[in-house]
Amino acid sequence: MNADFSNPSAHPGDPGAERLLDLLADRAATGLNGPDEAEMWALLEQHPDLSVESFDRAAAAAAEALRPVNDPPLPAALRARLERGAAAWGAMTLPEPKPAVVGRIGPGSGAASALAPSRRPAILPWTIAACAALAAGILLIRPPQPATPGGLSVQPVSLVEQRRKMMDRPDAIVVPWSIGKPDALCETAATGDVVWCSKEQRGFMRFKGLKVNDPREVQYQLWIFCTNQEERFPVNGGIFDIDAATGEVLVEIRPSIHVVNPTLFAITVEKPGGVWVSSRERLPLVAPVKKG
Amino acid sequence: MADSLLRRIASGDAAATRDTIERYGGLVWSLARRFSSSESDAEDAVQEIFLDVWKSAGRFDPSVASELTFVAMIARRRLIDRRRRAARRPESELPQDREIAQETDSRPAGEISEEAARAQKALAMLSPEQQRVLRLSIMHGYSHEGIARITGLPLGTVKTHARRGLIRIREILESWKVSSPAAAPR
Repeated sequence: MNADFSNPSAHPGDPGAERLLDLLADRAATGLNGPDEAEMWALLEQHPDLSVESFDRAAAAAAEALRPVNDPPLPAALRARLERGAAAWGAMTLPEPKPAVVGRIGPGSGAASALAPSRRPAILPWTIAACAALAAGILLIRPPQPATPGGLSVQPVSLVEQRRKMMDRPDAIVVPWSIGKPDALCETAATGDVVWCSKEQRGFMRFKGLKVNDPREVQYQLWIFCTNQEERFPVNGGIFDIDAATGEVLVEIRPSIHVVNPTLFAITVEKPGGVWVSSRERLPLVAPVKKG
Repeated sequence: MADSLLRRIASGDAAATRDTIERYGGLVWSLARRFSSSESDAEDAVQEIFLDVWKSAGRFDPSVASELTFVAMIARRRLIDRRRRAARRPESELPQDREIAQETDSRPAGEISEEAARAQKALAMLSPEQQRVLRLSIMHGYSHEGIARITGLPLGTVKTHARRGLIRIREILESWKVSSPAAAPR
């Protein structure tokens, strides 16, 4: 018997819900572009009975079910590399330096965090590893990351060093922060910059003068305006917190949506978990990219 | 029910990290090579996926999904992100339909998670054409346009098949969870 699935029955006569179901299915199957993703999150606000997680789970279960029996096994050389990485990971007992880490959104973690109970935007596949500096300088360690395509690196890596290296690249841009709208969370003399490399699709934000926020009340959120996104739907760079009372703060940027020719980086202050479309009422810092 | 490797990793059991490769390496490799344009790209993806899995171990909640499904979710999300970052690789580089057509024998229910077995039943209710579209979409990550090119089906039909098929699988999994909470993987 073949089923007729042409008319989802859960939300009859609700075009918004039917559009949302389509977007959720598309996202789980092959991903969405920026405007569609923004539309999906806006619709989810109106339909809290639906969730990204359940569709990711369905797609994962279907993929598992569709996997053929005659699939080739993991290549031996790759397995050996993975096992070396596993051994290094297992041996690494360094705890995450808690004072240095002020906020994080798991890398590529739409699936990883999809099992979290919350529907907060923070669990989307964006990446920000935010590290705060202590008074002695901007130190910063992030959890293990794959370093090179050829192998696994599970050693803690200094973000300061990575930022410095990125600044040496001819294709990297460095843009200073300037005050957007005066805000209680931002000193008028706040400074810092954004280093961004389009080729790597990665960058770093450095702040001094952005005040400690209470994540139960508000969180900072990064937006990246670029030529491949409409101005009203900038790339959502993720949320982060500042919990270091002194010194500089370094935040790694790893947007999940491809950024082409960034024109402006902006920090807004939003409700906990962030928002999908910002009202831009609280816009303490902006970093416009000069053309040419 | 197998021990939860992810819980062991989260509690600091180093040996469990290696065990994940043995238990989930085949699944991850299977997905990676289908989503990737080359073997080296697939190998890079597998390494990234395992790092994600290990880092995400503390987030695993067995009341929400089985460990196998959790790993598949991480893998698929990472692969989708990689593909979107790779800036539109030509879909002609993806496996040919002839190759895909041979992918018909799915694993026996005993070798897959409970959720996958439910999904398998839902898939079996679809027409061969619908199943083919879903396979190209979910297993290979083809766009609707790419599937339409490969299959010769109208784009609108492809969209309907891909979306409604997944929506149906999701409905079945959700209703199973609600009606049989005790059956949820532990």
